[in-house]
Amino acid sequence: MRSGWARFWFIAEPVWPIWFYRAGLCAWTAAFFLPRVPYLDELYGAWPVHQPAQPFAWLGLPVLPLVVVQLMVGALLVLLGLFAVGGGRHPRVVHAIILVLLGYLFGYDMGPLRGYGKLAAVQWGLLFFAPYDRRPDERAPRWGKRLLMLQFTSVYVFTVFAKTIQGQGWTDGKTLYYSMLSPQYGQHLLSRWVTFDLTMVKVMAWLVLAGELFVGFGLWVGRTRKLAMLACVGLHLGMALTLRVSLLFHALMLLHLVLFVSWPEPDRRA
Amino acid sequence: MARRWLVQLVILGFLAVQGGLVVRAAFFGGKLPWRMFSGRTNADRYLMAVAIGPTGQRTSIPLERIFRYARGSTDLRLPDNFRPLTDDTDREARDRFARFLGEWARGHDIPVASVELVWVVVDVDTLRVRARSFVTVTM
Repeated sequence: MRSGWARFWFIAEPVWPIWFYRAGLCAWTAAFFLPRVPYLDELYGAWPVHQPAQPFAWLGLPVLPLVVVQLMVGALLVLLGLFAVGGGRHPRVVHAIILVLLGYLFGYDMGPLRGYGKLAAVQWGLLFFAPYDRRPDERAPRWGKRLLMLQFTSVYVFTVFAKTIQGQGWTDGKTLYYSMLSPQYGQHLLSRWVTFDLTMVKVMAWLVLAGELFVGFGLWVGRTRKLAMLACVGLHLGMALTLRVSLLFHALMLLHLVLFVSWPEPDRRA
Repeated sequence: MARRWLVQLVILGFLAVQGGLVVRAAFFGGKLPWRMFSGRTNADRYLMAVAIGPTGQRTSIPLERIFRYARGSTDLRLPDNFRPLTDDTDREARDRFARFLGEWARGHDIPVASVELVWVVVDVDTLRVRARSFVTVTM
């Protein structure tokens, strides 16, 4: 049991996937904030539609002047660029400052923030435990990377339970059917040109549930990993072709697949 | 050695949070995280704001001109997710929002004595449209 635990968390693995992931997360975060730049006054100003995240509401944190928010976003974009290429001499300090900035920018915008924004916030926190300050050709204990991987796959497992046990309309396909029919959430690319009948959508809904479970568990097993990666790509491609879900969501999820590439093999003697 | 224990503490903390979410959902009626698309009805909802002038003249307030930021690939604006408009828990915030729209209308030469907020509900299956007025605020 103890050796299994140690093997799972502490075997030394190549650091390069974490480097790719860090650069990807920086690029993703910049892509998240850049389209928001023209609307900073609307998104972070004292407008009567603000719903700050719960901790912000409890703390009664004031709305900052627009110029301060602009400076924060500017600083964030610069630091993301620096962190993407290694973080300079003190990558942990740069990371900590990024976390503080994101704390405000994600937190204050948390009301309308979607699931993928929340996942990105969690992963930025967990990335702190990954050995990104080592050289990419070095090996390091993988526990930080494991946390990122577990968080990622848990999203797929949780979402299946949320849909089937607490949600509704998935076993009969109606949620997906209405989503694809809806001009607000569907009627997008493929679903705009092809009308799927309810029976067809019911099969698709079950395939989605099975696919999400398979991704959630299959990525952890060597024999099914490649197939689970393909399933993950297929799931997100299907969603991108039929539903009005931001491309940022798909990009963030697919970025995580780099964490599951193990080459060369982990050093089991470590 | 101390560092190893600290690391194990972080790992256990992470696992405790994940497990806690399951326990909360299973025994205390909490919601599971990552509920994207976990349920949907056949209704699409669109917010409409109407300025009612002193003579009863009704003018639609162009929300897309006031709220320019659209979410992701959708055309949903910030008020579409503003909770006080969808539940009845914070009437003060809801009225404040309506008054804000009224001030905007007044500033743009739209005659306004009161502001009415309406949810327009479209059945995506039958395309039947229903309008439900849920608040009228006098300016």
